[in-house]
Amino acid sequence: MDKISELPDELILTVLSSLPAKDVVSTMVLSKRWKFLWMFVPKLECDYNDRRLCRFVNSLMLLHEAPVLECLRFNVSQKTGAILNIGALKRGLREVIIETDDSPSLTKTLVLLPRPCFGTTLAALRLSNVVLVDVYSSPLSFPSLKILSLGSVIYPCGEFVNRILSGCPVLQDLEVQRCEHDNVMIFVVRVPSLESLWLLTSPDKAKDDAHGFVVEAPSLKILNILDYSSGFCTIDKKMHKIVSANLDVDYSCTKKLLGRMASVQQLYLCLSTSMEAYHEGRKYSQLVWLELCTCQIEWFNLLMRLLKDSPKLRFLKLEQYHQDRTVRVMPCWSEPSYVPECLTSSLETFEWVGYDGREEEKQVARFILGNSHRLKTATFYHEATVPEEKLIELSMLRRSSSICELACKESYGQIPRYR
Amino acid sequence: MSKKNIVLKSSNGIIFEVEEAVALQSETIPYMIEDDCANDTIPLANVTGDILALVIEYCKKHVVVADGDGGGSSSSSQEDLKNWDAQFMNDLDQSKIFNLLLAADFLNIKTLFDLTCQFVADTMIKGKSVEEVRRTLNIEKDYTSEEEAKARQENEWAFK
Repeated sequence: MDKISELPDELILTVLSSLPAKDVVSTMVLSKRWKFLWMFVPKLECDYNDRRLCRFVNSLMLLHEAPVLECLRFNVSQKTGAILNIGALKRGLREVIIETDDSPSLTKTLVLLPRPCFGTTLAALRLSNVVLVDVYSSPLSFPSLKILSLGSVIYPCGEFVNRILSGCPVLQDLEVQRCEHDNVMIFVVRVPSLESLWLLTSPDKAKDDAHGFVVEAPSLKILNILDYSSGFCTIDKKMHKIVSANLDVDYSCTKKLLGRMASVQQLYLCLSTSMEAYHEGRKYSQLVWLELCTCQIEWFNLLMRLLKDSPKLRFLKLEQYHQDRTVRVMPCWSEPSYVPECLTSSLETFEWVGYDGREEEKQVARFILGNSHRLKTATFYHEATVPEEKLIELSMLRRSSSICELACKESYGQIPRYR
Repeated sequence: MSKKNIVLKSSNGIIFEVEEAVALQSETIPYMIEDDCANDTIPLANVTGDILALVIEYCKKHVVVADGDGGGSSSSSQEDLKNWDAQFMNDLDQSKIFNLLLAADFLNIKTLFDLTCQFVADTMIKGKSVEEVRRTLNIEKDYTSEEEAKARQENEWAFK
């Protein structure tokens, strides 16, 4: 016998797992050895660009015999469109991925979600650029679903989102990217089991302050929001377990967002508000790591507030992440009337990316270096164009920590924050 | 002080001495070291000398440099490694490729196993007609022409 046919079944199945489903099923006529092997391949990727997709998938599901189908993936061409009925898929399914080429508003790929009796094994569902269709009007149920990704999905209505999420009792990871015309005004995430949440709004979505998110996820540990649609995000209950938050938003009010995360340890912020960012008197008693984007005019006020309210801060980084945002603006420097506790007692590392030595920047640097008693390293990354004397000036600033090492380095360029 | 070496013996009695870090990319070898006396030679009854030499060549290339001379994990070296992998696989004949796949499975070297599986799938099956796959892999057609035609007809959905 030839070399490949001599391999044990499981090795042949591994080889077949990385192939498109079409290539997998045609192996059935290679020889008798191969007649049934294809039915047991644990991963299938249907990469189809014509209308036969439906028939192909239905036949495939009918004949496929593997007790567990680890992953079933559909890549559908926008031009073709298709109706995919997830409910028709068989038992033992662990992960379903449905993606079409981008441009969600034009998509013709319709996805029917399963009836309640289906899919007790499904652990991950990832949809991208598809239209969800409501056909059963009965409750939806995904009893084992842990990961759900809804990327540029068009829903029948806002209520449908609630029906999906309330059918996911063990959901841990949720990723939502909202697109234009998704038929949802307020996207409500009310999932008690949720641990990680990503909320994104497509950059091309029109600005509209009536659209937004409402989150009630008391078990949440990680929260990431990237949203420039001028909408809002309201968090309904305190999130006592939150560890890390990444908020890059242009909301006019963030009080109901920042105010709910007193236990946060790592925070990245780019907000257009500052004094109004959260209620007076709020403390971030666990916060040790803070990164602040310097592209908004209010950033310095926000920094001073956060330093004051974060007594255990050990790491501080300033950087303008959004290079595309017009002119760099710097608020007028005015000497603070107090020295934040974290500077005198905990701050160890200070990084500033994109330091260009202007007077206001120098004053901020002077204030931090001059008051941080426990600082170990201060690193300033600058453009090659910054004059040498500005850097010498910087290195001459008084440091109140005797062990603080100061370094100036040429910028290492922009690091993309989001995938 | 030189690093600790491990001695491997192929099924046809060829001895290879390699650095521990190189050998430990195999998840099977640590169990063999525990079972046997550490100073002894580790016999690999399923792997012939020529294949073991290839496995070691691969593992030496992929060993993670722990001394950190800087720049070790940069993207360009990842790119180099990928190119090296492609060249490494391209230089092998089919019989060696399948023996390497079996060896990677037995020795449990995940990256090498994935590399060989992917290579077989991409270069010998993907996008090819049934006849081309048979020819490429030397698979003997044991269906009669009538049987094959019938199978194709019954599963017409699979063959456009």
